[in-house]
Amino acid sequence: MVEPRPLPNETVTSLAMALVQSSKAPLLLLDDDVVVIGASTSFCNTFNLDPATMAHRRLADLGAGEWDVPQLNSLLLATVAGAAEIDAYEMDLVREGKATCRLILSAHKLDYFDTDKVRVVLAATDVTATRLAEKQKDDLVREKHVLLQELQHRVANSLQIIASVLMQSARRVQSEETRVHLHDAHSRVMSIATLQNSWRSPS
Amino acid sequence: MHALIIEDESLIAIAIEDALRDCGFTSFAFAVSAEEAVTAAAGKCPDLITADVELRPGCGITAVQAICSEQPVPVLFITGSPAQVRMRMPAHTLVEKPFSADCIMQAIKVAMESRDG
Repeated sequence: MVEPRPLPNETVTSLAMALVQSSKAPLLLLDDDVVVIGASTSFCNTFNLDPATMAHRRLADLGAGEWDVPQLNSLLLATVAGAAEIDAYEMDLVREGKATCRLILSAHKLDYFDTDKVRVVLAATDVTATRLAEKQKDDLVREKHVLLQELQHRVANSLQIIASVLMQSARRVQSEETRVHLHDAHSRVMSIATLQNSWRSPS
Repeated sequence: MHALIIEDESLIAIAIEDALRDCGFTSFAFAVSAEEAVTAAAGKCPDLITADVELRPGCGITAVQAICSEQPVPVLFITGSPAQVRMRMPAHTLVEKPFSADCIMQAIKVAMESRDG
């Protein structure tokens, strides 16, 4: 089998660009100085950036400088140098007049033969909605727990009130027959309570 | 003997009072909230406290802890929320609601013995 010959640098860049641009996920193609080579349309749309002004600008200079995060820049330079891989870096994207987004970033150096030109793909996932949904879910679970406890407390109290009233009536009546009936009724309420206790959640 | 009954349902408080009377208690103080309980205990120190956990407003466990930090008093928890008591004050006698007269009288004796022993 014949080894494929490495393509010229320009062709590789064009191919990488075409791939990045066609991506549905927000992607950036960066060079070794963290300068944008290309961006996917989804990246521009998601982060309100003008596709026409993206190329040849440093990541830190995009938009109003919201991507100028020193730690991210260091991580990207380390990725360029092959010293690190950004797998899931979380950061807040703070933009004027817009709600802060929580992003998960990953960056990988593209390996293509021994070409001296370095290209890094940066993927950004907006997890703001997911995080919010998780928090809402946790709040709902907590609320459900509180409501369930309140319900159990009320059921126990209500059964207790009925049982107490029956016991007090049994103490006070003169007729022995009535007393037996009231004791019976009390026992039935206590049976229901035993069932109720067995349904109680362990917490 | 004097008992402090911390319970926000008056009918249940009366039932507890009846049981305590049968065990030899002669005077009673009632509290429906944590704050009332602390005030009542400060007014006349009880020989026994019976406490519900969920009060209006407040928590019976917190009230008992506040009272017992001043002076240790035997406590009997009577509650529909036993898990909280087991977690926060596991050494104390506990009766789950709803209780029968026999079971509460037995628990009162156990709580009083824990003081004597």
